Amino acid sequence: MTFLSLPLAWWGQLALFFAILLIAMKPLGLYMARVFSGERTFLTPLMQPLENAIYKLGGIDPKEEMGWSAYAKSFLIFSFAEGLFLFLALLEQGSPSIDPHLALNLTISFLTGTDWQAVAPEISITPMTQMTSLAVHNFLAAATSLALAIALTRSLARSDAQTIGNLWVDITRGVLYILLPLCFLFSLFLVSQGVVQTFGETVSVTALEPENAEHLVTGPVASQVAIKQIGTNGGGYYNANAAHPFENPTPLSHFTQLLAMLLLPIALLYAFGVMIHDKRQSFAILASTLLLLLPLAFLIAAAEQSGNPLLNVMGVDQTLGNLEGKELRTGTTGASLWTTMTTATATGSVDSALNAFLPTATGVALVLMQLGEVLFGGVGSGLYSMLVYVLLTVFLAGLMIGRTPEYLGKTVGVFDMKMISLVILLPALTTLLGTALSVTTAAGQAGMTGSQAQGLTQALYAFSSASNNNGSALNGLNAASPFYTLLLSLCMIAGRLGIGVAVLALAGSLAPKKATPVTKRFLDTTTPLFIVMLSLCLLMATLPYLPSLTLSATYEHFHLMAGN
Amino acid sequence: MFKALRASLSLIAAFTLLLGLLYPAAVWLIAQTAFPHQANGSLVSYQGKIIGSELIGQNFTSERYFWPRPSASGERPYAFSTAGASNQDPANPALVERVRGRIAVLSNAHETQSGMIPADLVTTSGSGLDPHISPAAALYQAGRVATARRLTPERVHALIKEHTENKTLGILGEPRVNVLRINLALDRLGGGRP
Repeated sequence: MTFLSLPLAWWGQLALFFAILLIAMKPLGLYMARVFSGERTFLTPLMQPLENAIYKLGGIDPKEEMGWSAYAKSFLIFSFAEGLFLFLALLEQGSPSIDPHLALNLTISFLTGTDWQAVAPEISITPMTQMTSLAVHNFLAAATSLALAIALTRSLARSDAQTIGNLWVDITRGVLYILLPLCFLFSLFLVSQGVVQTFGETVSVTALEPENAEHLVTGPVASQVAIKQIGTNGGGYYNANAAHPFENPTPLSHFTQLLAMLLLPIALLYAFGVMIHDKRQSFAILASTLLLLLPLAFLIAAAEQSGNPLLNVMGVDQTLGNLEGKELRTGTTGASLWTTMTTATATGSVDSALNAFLPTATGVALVLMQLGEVLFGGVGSGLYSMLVYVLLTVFLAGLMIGRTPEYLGKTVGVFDMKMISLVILLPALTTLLGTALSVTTAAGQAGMTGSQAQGLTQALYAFSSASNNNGSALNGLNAASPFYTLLLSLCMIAGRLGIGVAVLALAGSLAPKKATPVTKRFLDTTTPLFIVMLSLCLLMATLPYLPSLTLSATYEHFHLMAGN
Repeated sequence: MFKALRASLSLIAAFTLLLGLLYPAAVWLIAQTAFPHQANGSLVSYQGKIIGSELIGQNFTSERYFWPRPSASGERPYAFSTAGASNQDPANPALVERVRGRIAVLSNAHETQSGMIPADLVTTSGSGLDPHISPAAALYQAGRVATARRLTPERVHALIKEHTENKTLGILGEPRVNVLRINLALDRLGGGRP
């Protein structure tokens, strides 16, 4: 694997990708900061009547601020109410019907923004339910996540404060001013590329060879794909997800969907800097993120470009890379970049068959999820998880140099460290426990396919994906049995509600602290040294997974090489 | 508690109306007006019948046509309702067996070809519906199609060149040939119809 082994097209894609994102991050970040500070924007004349109507209906006073416990309670009640709606909608959708345990799994999956799908949606879920339930909760999951990140940001920006914002206002403004306008424009672009938008029509086609006559099923796909990518949710209208030509028809639809995954996370990072009045902090976090993400992106691409060694010896020309499970309009270069970004951002949408990736690439995708979805991460969840790591790094650095750990002039105390540990350790705990249960019980083993190492990879992948609310799947695993649907549901709840409440508690503890003016006395969190240390702390978080990664992806890699 | 419940239910109701009905309906309205062809599945008509979608691959087995990539769609190759991937990992013996079988079929049908077989002709795609093959895969089959249709090889090569789509912006995707479109062009040329 040399640098030369990667085609220029991959480097070109990477450069264009980050160039566009870095240009977009400032204006969009400034705009988002305005939205969440309750300021006027150019959309105010259009959206304000709607916004006020929603407040009136809900008996919400937009000026009323919440303390962390009220914010957390509202978050839990809102999640529960969403869950009830979704569950009933899925159970009562009529024909086709799905089992209650699968409906529960789907409910929790969409409620938490994971979008893990244990059923083929175009077969098991009606177009109406996809449109009026799943897509709606994609918006709400993203908006709730955004709200939590903004609440944590406020707790750092404010000094001596008892409140961290109003959940209802944050969600409403997030949807009306950010998600809805972006998705509206993006879905129209997607339609221009060939993504379908109907209310669920079936077209009969005769085909050139008559025995291949088909019924093509269309539906409200473009409007759903837009939020699936922009909201980093990942749930497809079709089972084949972003590999399906009706969801992702051209190289341009592919590239723009790729951009859509990172657009809000990167802009939110900028908005964070604006809201705490210190944009250097945003760029420091950005640098730390890229320091880890770029080498990992390279590893995936290089592995896939080298092709399957077993096919090389059979006289197959793999100039285009490991094409099994990939579409030509995407190419190996595009699919590698997509897989990097979809696992880095908690989106989990797939444009190619992950199970067919080479073990090195699957292993890296696993690590990207196990990092806790912090390399840009999901909309909102990426920022709050990253800030938790920043605080951890500040704490460790403080210990090393014998000073009180402080971030933005706020002391990191004992309670804060407890919450930080909880956020970092909870997903590791649920991932490893779930994996252990799967490989040691008959019910767990029943779902696995392929070799034993492959089975371990599949289970590890599924539980990493659920615990970190990613939603991508290796698909070799048959996860539709009650064993997996229920266990994975628990992991998704822990990864969302457990971590959400811990983050809000952290915000509640940080907000009242007086921010002492930052002087030279303090640790500077924007120096190259701190940036590198933050990256190292992130890497450290993958240590609990090292034994299982060795037994799964690493073993498979050597197994494959030995077979060559 | 009651206050939060009322706010929750109101938000869910309002947003279900706005995001679940009005938003997709608005997208639908504009899509059907501005891009009716794309919004309805990019359908292709021939001799008064809808013969397929340019985005959705279909299977071809006759020697008079270019063949698509193998498909792992559950029911049968290129079945729309069971679209999906093989999900076989690279070391899976079943994958190796399948590729070996495919190579045998291809070599048999293209006896004049002695070079390497392009990977896309022996691997299944992510959706099982990939409508494209690489230009190399089309050239590999050109001789067979030309013989079956009693066309000159140059004519078929020209057709491939004409139907090759390049990388978008020079970097996105791979150069590719739409199998349905090129086969339709072959039928329009006539020649060798049995």
